[in-house]
Amino acid sequence: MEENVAVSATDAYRVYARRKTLVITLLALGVAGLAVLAMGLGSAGLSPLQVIRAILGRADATVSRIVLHIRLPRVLAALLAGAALSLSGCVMQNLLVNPLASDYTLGISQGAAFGAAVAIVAFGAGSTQSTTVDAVWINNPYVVTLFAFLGAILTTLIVLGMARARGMTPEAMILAGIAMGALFSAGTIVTQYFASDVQVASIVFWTFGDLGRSSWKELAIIAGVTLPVSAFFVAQRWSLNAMATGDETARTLGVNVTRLRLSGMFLAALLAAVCVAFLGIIAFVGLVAPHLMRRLIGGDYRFLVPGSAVAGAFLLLAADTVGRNVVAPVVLPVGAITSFMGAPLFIYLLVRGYRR
Amino acid sequence: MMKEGISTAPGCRRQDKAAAEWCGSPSPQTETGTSTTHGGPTLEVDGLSFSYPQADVLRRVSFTLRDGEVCSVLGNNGAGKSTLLKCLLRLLKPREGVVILDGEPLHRLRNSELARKASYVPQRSDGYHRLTVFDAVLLGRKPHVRWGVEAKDLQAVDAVLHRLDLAHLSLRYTDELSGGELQKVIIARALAQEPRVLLLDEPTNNLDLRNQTEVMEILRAEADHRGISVLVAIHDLNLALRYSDRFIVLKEGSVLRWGGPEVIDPDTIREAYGVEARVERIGGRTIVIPEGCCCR
Repeated sequence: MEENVAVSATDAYRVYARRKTLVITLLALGVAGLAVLAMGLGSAGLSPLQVIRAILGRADATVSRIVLHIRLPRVLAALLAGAALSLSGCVMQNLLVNPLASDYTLGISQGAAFGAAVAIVAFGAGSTQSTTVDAVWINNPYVVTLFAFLGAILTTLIVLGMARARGMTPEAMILAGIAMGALFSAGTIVTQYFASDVQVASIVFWTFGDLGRSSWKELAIIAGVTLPVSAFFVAQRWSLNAMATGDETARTLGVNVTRLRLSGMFLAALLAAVCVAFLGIIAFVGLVAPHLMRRLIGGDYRFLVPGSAVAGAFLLLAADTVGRNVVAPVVLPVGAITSFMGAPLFIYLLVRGYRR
Repeated sequence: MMKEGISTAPGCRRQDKAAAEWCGSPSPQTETGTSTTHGGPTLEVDGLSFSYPQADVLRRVSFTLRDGEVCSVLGNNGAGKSTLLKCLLRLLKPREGVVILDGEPLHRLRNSELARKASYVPQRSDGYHRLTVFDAVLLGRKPHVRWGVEAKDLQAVDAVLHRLDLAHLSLRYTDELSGGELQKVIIARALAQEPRVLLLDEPTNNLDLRNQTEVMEILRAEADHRGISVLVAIHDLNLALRYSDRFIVLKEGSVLRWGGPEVIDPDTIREAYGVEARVERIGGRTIVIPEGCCCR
């Protein structure tokens, strides 16, 4: 009898764990399907079959060109940035024990945008960003990224410092984030005032996210940051779980809490920064996608880390597809669409009551 | 290294009486029938001191804990019970003193090694947000897991869940449990770590009579059957007397008394808690009956 029960508890758990894998797998398949669909939608409508053929290199030149040079980079940008932002938010929420933490609510995106604006004005980096052929093209993305990253890290440090001084309550941290967001938005506006017309255009582009101008080289940089950082978070999944037990218990489970919190926040800010640097501020993906996954599969980071990445990719791709088609031929920037998602989420958290 | 019969007890206010017992024979027999001779020392603490910038919290605390022993840490609020536990878990860095855990100096252990030797049940625990009971207990396997969970980890969790009668809750979320259930889950998590020493900070607080008894019985059983040493900070003297072999009575950060159940006498209680009490034997058990506060 005892033996039977003993087997069933583990088995029940295995079934439960498998169900979570299934949810993530289905969502990933959904993302793949949506990606094919999204590449077909647009002024030149393509069937899913044509899209797949083009990706496999079996379509005619025009279709190939549309898919490989226009639509595929955009879809990949959505997938990568969605995954990166969602992962960034997911990890920040864990490390700060704060359900409201994300790149946007902590002002990190705004800090990154300010950094990018400074780089554009100081180094003329942005004016060549969107046109593909230019001598300085290679160096400039790195400069903008570097400055966006510096802005993001600076904001992270300030917010963490202020929150520590006032106690790490969710309210304190979000207030600090709002303060930083406001400050850096103001800084960006002032920077614009001193910028040339072309630079202003570039800066404005940064302040609301748009996936349309991502080229293969920028994608490679985003992927080059996102993939290793994701691997790090996957490797840390047990430690992230341990963080949910509180700092002291986590330490008695062998986690170096301070080091994990610092390195994790640094890398999460890096993810947000690289997205902002190339795509502009994309609000709320980092907040909505992880919360969606927590509802679906629970708070186990062994599943939540990959799950959040997939959910973020799905969400951003869906938002961009809506933005491209809802008032076509006008293309709404994806940042505007995702901003709409913030309202219902905050209301949901308010109604349900958040916990620390 | 420090041994059982250390005779100097600096900071001990009742050296005359205490020192005699400190030199005395190890592990006394208790009325819970644990007449087993306990094994070698798993935890040796010698001259442990800790201070915050403003105040000394622990003053030259010394004691030894053996295999399969349950030791209660007693003393009023602020006597240094939690601080002592945290120093032993390296959550706080002691100012001075030597701690030998399972034969190795505490400060030389790596984090993961320490986590395999000692586990902790903190004073207050909220539910682990959106983690199921099984997942929460599985977390105790973290120090043992290299990359993926193996069958033996699942079996270990399963075994602990059954020992603590939690198997029926295994897929419930921890933040939806009752206080007693949650406390047992957290103890289960600590046991899944398979530690040599289990340290608990007031594990029976806020629990009803049934759950208090159950928690203490779990600790006693783990000590008896698995040879785990248990160090438990506790307020309830009668629970402590019933389930422990050894007692450390702290007052203002110093060891007031250390020894078997005989150290719990009216004098000690008066000095440690400022309460007049009778210590009686009823039905084969030693019972503390508080009478009232001492006049100042």
